[in-house]
Amino acid sequence: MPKKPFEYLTEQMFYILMALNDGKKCGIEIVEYINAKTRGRVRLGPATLYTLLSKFEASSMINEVETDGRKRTYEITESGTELYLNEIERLRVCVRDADTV
Amino acid sequence: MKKVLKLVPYPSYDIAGLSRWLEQNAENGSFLAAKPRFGIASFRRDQPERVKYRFVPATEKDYFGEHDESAAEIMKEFGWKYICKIGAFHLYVNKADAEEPFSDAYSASEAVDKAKREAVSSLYRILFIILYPIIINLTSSSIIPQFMIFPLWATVLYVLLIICATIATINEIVYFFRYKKAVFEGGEPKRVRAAYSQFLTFLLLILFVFSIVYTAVFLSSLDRKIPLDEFKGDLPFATLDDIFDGETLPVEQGLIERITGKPSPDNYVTENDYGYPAGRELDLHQHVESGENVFGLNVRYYETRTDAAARSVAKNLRKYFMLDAKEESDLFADAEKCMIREEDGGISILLARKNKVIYVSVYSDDMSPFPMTAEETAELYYKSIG
Repeated sequence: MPKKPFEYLTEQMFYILMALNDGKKCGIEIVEYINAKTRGRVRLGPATLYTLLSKFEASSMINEVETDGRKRTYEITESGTELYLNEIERLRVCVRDADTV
Repeated sequence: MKKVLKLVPYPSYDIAGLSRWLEQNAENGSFLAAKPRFGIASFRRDQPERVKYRFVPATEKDYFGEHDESAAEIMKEFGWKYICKIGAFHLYVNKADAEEPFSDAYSASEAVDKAKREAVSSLYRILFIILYPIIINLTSSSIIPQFMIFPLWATVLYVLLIICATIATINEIVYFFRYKKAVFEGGEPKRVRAAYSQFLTFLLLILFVFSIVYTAVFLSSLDRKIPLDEFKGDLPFATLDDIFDGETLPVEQGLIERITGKPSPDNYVTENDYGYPAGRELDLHQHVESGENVFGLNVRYYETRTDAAARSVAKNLRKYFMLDAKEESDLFADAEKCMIREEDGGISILLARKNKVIYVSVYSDDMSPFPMTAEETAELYYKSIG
């Protein structure tokens, strides 16, 4: 069955959106942000990073706002923010459900 | 630095197979130096090293254009060196113990999906490979029945082209289904030995070269003049059977007369049996529309390929039209001379010139309530060609 884009977010997707929700960043800054935030728990491979950035950009979840040489800077869009917030809510529901067990 | 050329054993969609092949080469001191072209990869020789090659799918941004340098920059931060683009993938290399460039299932599956799409699209290539010789044969005029008018080596070339196309097609299809069965179900395809694959790649290369040579031969043959001595097939001109259908010879019937002047072959050629450029069309149909009662039109045009062949026609003409040597010589020396044969409700015109023999038949419908006489038709014909 074909994948529906962003039907659910992988950890890497979630943290990329989190990084950009916290301000515009370039690829390396996103990696550093996630490393710091998760204290190295979530690894973001470079191919994964730019595959996901490309997917997010194609779906208008993020926008490229600046190009400085080889460095591209991205910011999150309204749709991206909505996706990120919905995922937070989904995760909260999951945790609440788990707490009731 | 010493360079080595090697044939790429696997199609570009088999990224796992290619990665492994490149890593094995690196262990033997051969490192891919540039993008493989036409199935040939250039390797530089160096100290053997254990490295890791990985294919990363091109994004929408850099699928057709330049490689996205920002992506290469991110990969570089992690120690991945960009090599080249192969098919729909960018190839990177890193140390053997480097972490995988994909860190989640979603993005890793993108690469697999891309490889699957590449595999499916490779079927179009297969279709092209097998159809190519046939398409070449069908353009303009059919080649296969005319093998004998080509030099022998061109015929051999065409047969080899067909053989190569068949082997390459079978190989591609077998590879595709083997790959599909394994990879689409989440496994690894059972690959043949690289040397065997390289041999088939070599065949494909030959196919490619043959295709170019054969196309050139085909195109040049369209204008080629073949000396009669070399010509082994049926002569490509009107046989008298076409004209007389085994009936009594026209001279015996008293049906042939000569006229002078008027028709010019360039003006009434409409059909060309050998695909040669023909002159403008004789539009007798306008007379049909205007009620001038020409209901049918049959114009045939024959061109011999050489003067020698034309002379051979002359011999036939002489035989069938009972011409003497001077008449024959006059006929071919003077393009303005032609012969006319009367038919039911129409005429046939046989015209010969230096290297052309042209037969034209213009007739009215037998069922017409106003059938034209030969004279009327001839008059109409000459009127139409000015």
